[in-house]
Amino acid sequence: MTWIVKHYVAADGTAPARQWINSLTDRTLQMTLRSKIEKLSEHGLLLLQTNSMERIDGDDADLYELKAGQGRIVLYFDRRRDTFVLLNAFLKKRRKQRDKIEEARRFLHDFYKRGEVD
Amino acid sequence: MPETWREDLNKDLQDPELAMLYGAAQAKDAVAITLAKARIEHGLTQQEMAHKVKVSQPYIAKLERGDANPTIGVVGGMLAAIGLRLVTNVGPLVSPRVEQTEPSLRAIREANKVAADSWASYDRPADDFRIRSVSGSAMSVEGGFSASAAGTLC
Repeated sequence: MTWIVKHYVAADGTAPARQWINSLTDRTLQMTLRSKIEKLSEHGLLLLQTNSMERIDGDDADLYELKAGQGRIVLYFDRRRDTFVLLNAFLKKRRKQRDKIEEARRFLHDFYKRGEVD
Repeated sequence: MPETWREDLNKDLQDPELAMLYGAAQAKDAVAITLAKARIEHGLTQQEMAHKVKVSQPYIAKLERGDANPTIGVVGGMLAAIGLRLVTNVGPLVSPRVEQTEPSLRAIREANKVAADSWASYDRPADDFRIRSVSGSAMSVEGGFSASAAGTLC
């Protein structure tokens, strides 16, 4: 059994998390993130037991952070579609992290409205 | 239609150097999940596990996040502290995808059930037991005293 993992796609056709991961020049981090995504597709919410994934505090239900070294992927678990939606990705830096999570929340609201994934 | 992250991954894996980097990351993640499962199976917190194996709790967290690069000896020693040994196996670099054309609540409940069962399933013939790994994992742990405990499912 695998879990469905999709990239959020914005109205302009871009997939922010996908673009960021594909643009990484640190190939070790890039492949580590790809491995984490595959583990997510294998184990789903069980990753919450391993420190690889944490729930993000806030009002949004089912918003999580997937961790790999300094890399972070903000994702949403869409229970209606049984799908993990990768919203945004970034390198961990305290101030930037807050901004990127806020950005991910905006993506999530857009996803609620349009529901487009790739 | 394949998920795009799989397309990106498969494209990268055409490059042998990237495939090796990916293999290294996969191995760390497999160890991380194996150790976390073993600890949870034994009802230990990270703090309690750290105390048992004489390392810090942040190190346990790092291991379980897949960010550490422990030697095989360290992993074996940690498992031995809770009466387990490492059982290794190999599998495809990328786990086979199971098609889901109609996502449904039933499917997710089934996934939860399978995952939970894998997490906690024991076979206890007399003095030995096995912990089955979640499908796709390249590693599992095994403990016990009888030779009949061989053949852990992976």
